[in-house]
Amino acid sequence: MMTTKMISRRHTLRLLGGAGAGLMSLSMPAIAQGSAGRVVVIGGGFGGATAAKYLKRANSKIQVTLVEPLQRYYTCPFTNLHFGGLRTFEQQGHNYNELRALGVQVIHALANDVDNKKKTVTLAGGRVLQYDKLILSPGIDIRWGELSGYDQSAAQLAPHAWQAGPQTQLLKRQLDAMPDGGTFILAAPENPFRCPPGPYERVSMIGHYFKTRKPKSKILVLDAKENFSKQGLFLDGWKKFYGEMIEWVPVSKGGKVVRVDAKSREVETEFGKIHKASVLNVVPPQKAGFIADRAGVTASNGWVPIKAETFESTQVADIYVIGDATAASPMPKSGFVANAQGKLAAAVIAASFAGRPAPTASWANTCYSLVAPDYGISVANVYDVVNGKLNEIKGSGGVSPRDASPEFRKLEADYGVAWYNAIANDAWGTKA
Amino acid sequence: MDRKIFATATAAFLFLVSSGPLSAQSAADTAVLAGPCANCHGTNGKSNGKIPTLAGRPATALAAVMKAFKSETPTPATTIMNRIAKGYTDEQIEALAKYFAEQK
Ligand SMILES: Cc1cc2nc3c(=O)[nH]c(=O)nc-3n(C[C@H](O)[C@H](O)[C@H](O)COP(=O)(O)OP(=O)(O)OC[C@H]3O[C@@H](n4cnc5c(N)ncnc54)[C@H](O)[C@@H]3O)c2cc1C
Repeated sequence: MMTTKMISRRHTLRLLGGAGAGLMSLSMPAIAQGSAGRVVVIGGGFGGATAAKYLKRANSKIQVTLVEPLQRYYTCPFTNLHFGGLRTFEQQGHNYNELRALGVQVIHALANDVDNKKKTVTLAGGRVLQYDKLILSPGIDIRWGELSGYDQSAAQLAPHAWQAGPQTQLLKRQLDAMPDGGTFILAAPENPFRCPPGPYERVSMIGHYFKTRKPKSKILVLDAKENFSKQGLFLDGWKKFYGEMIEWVPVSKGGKVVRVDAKSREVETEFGKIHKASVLNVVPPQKAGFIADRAGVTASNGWVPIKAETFESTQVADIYVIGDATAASPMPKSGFVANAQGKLAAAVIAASFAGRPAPTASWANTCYSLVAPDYGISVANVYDVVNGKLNEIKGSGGVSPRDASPEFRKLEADYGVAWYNAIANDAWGTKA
Repeated sequence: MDRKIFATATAAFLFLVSSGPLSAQSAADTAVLAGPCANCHGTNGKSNGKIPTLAGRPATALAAVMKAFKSETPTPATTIMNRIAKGYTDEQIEALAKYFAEQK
């Protein structure tokens, strides 16, 4: 049994202070109505769906409204496997039935504006929602026009497929229609961007598709960077499975694309060279979703600075931002991380409504990539907060070993699928 | 101090005194710590796939496995948990093991 000695002084003080604050907040109107507080969540992707669910798990009396235009959300994760011919498009689709069953009010609409003083969200169509706490998980928007020639109409000819949906289906149709012997070009952006290993998993999977269906075809990766995620593992895998098919050009060798001509499917590099593609996939520069701007939480670099301990905006109180929209380096912009940040924000908000101090923050990330069927690789990390800053815990994490056995790679391929099924169930309740 | 607030605070205090061990790791901290585990091992540590379930397994066994992952000689079939386990202190591992042992 417990003795008082075992209770740290810090906890006792936290608790006494917390009980008082909890009662004080009884004056809030929402609480008078039997609710523990009102949270509006904007965006039902990895971050937002998870946050909404974990708020309800923390306290079912919290009134949670999720605003998401899509009835059916398609994940970017595993769309690369769709390009590889290993999965259907529909396998990446998820709905909001579980969240509704948990008591989350799901509104399928776009949030147009946020008034951070009145604490309201205005939806397309004019409906206004009041919040005590707001969570933003809007993902990315494309910086249209930043890359010369790449605007919304160009994306209809040279898709980015960096937001899953019609763009994914367009790129798939183009790949299917491409004759054998064609050239697929992927233009990869500078950091930071959504899913650091994503472009390289994509060309791996398209390599697999070509190898099995269009073996005379070529793949060219034009990169605005000198290095990329899991580079050694990818390069080894490409050589092993695809021989000379995949060529990667780093920025120092003229990899940076500076102009796109979507009509002729040509790109011009920094070094003045023109490359012509049969299928052109431009992964363009990105920024936080526009609603973050409207809420006044975006910094001049286009991303949202957050307080490391809580993921509350550094610029506006009571707005929490999670997922790809945040500037959360050293964490990558991954679905795994968005989910983990969503859980933290939910726990922080639930604690705040209950008048308790915020729990100690902790996160992890794992990104599996498939290089070929039965050949998976991974990168993992664990994070905490040190001196108010996000910190990658020293000695933890890292990538799969370079000399791993085929059995190891097969296990990581299988674990990648298991990860997808687990996180899809965790966020949207989707059954495997 | 308002009488009601004082009474509530005292009650909460007494509740804590008589309920379960309290180290630096509070229940809310442990739930946050356990958050990312669900992304592969399933919500509440109940797996729907090839990655092992954590829920309901004995705390001593879970802690022992995590510590083995963390050691220089992890079990032969280890792929990723050796990299992840190194991010947690033994105290956090104990708390996580207890947390998942209690999940149903
Ligand atoms: C090809 C590819 C492969 C990837 N593979 C992996 C992987 O294997 N593992 C991994 O962990 N991550 C992967 N990712 C990254 C992952 O997709 C993102 O990190 C993740 O989606 C981020 O979650 P989020 O909640 O921030 O944004 P999203 O998941 O993009 O969700 C944002 C949601 O907000 C909605 N929204 C936006 N604005 C508004 C508004 N104003 N009002 C209402 N709703 C709005 C959108 O409709 C969208 O549904 C991959 C990405 C790509 C492109």
